Amino acid sequence: MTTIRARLTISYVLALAGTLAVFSAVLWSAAQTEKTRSLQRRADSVADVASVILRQSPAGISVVITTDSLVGRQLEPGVRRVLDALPGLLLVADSTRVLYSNAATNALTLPDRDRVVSAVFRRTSEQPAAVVRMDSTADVFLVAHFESPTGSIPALRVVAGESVAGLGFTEGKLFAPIIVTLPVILIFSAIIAWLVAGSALMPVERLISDLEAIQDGRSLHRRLPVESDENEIDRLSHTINAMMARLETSFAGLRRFTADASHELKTPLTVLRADIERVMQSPAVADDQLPPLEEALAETARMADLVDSLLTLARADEGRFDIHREHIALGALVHDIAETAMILGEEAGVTVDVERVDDMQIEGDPVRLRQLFLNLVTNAVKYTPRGGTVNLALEDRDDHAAFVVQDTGVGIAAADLPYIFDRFWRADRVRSRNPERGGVGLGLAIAQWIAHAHGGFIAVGSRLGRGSTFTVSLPLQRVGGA
Amino acid sequence: MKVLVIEDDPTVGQFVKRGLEEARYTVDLVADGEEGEALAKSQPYDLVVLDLRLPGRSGQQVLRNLRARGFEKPILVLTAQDAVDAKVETLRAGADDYVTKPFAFEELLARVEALARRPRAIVSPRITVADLEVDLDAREVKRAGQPIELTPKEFLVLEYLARHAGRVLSRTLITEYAWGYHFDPGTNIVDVVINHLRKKIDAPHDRKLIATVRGVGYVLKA
Repeated sequence: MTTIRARLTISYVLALAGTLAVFSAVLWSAAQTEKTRSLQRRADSVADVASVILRQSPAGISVVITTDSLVGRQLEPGVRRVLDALPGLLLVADSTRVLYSNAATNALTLPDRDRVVSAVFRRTSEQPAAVVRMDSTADVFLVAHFESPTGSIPALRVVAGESVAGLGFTEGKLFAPIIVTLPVILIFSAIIAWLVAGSALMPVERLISDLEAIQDGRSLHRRLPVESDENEIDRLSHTINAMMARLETSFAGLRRFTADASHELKTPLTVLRADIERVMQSPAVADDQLPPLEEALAETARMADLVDSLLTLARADEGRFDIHREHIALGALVHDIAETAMILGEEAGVTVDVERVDDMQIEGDPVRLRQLFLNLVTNAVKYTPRGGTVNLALEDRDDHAAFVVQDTGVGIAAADLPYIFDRFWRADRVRSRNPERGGVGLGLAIAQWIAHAHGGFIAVGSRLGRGSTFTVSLPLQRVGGA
Repeated sequence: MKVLVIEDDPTVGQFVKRGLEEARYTVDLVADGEEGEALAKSQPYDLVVLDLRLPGRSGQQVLRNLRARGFEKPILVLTAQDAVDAKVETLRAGADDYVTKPFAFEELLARVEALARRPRAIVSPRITVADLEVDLDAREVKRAGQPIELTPKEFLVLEYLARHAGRVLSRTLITEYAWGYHFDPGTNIVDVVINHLRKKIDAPHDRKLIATVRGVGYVLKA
């Protein structure tokens, strides 16, 4: 889930969920406020009514309170009966004690009732309402209280309470639909976001597939389509096109340079070689002058080979696999290679075994294929210690020919395996151990190029200290379905 | 046999001229394309060796002009380009064969001889060196009348030595002859083959034909 499309979708859904959560919270708190207000209005009006009853008692306010010898001061029974008809909690008290409490108040447990009472005595007229939480019922009461306005006689406090639960209003009713529809909304918007992000990123996808088609020096002439200069993708394409134009120019320059340099090197090499050959053949040359001339000739040949390799690889960079093609009997070619392998093995003290050579016809370049096979065989012998074995085989594997070179040599470290076909690559270990084991490290790069030019490839398996197996697979075009 | 060599580089030109003269050709050497073209039209040459990179007029142009004017003799092109399409283009323009620079003279001579349609002047199908006989067609070798079995590489090396009997042949030239270009064995592979040849050819006889020239190569003594 790391694509931009997925990230956009997730961000969008998260943002939507956040917005909905904030919206719900605001709604919740508004509902809470409204509920409290409505309860307070009801408690206020009950307290109001009770205080009016107390004030308008025909007997005057002093008669409202009677003093009973047993219970002390209390409300007059007639007034009490009127107050009993009022809903909710109701308490009437003077400055020291409760004079009246209705049935609902009396139904409370003792500690809960004390809580209401103490709320009453803590309150002043500036803080007319209080919220009291009941322990026993977990209900919440909203309590309003009134000081009786009369200045005479001990002032009476009227306290009215309303149960929150009794209001019959619950948040659940409001939020249940929201909670039910929320996932549906989120899933739906996720789908929409996925589609929108997809269509927004479509030009990028196109850009990617266009760019993926540009793989090597050959396809550098390609350009990305630009419809207008207005949107971001077109501007990006424009920038990439400009970059590719610069790359194409420098690639062409490099190619020209390689081709020119090779030509410029080949002519002096020809001159050099001609000079050396002529001098060596001259009857006037003294015997002791011949060895350095021979050395120079060998170096010239090696240099010519290097120039040829560089030119070949420069062409490979352009993706050009132009080789000469003719019918080749692979079996005969491998027998010829095997003889050279045995000669090399004899010099190096390595046993060369030719296991199986199937005869096959192939369309290819005999000079290049010989070069490829000789390179692998030479390497195998070179990197196999005295007393080791090199096995050669050419196998007919139905759709392809497999030339297998297996040795019991020094092997290649697993970490090095991916790089052995790179140019100028040579394992440092091997280089340092025996610096005169020549070559500049182009052999395998050329070998792989030759295999590719024939539509095949080289595979390697190797274990350090145990040996390596190089397998060249060349596709066979069977004629007449044979 | 008259050969015209059109090559602007004096060293390469002289090298080719002398080499061909040693092989008993009559050789004219010119360094300029226009001059070469004029000469080819006026003189009865049997073969033209043409360098593709020339001052004045390019070799490709000379080639086209000669063919356009009905010059029918073989033309061998010297080129530095070994790309297949460049070679194909040269052949299409009317060249009969090409030699890629840098080349061994042996290769040039072989191609000239093939184009001149005459048997190798110094080579008959059977070469005799002292009591050694090398039959090039049947690929058979006899010493003092006794047939000797040789592997293909052994035969190639001996053939090369026999063709140039009496001349010191360097290891590099022998390697190129027997294995072609693009092959650097890193070891003296020729020495191994020579050892085999000595065992088969010289060991049973008192007279040793193969001699080592230290630091250079080998010679087959006539």
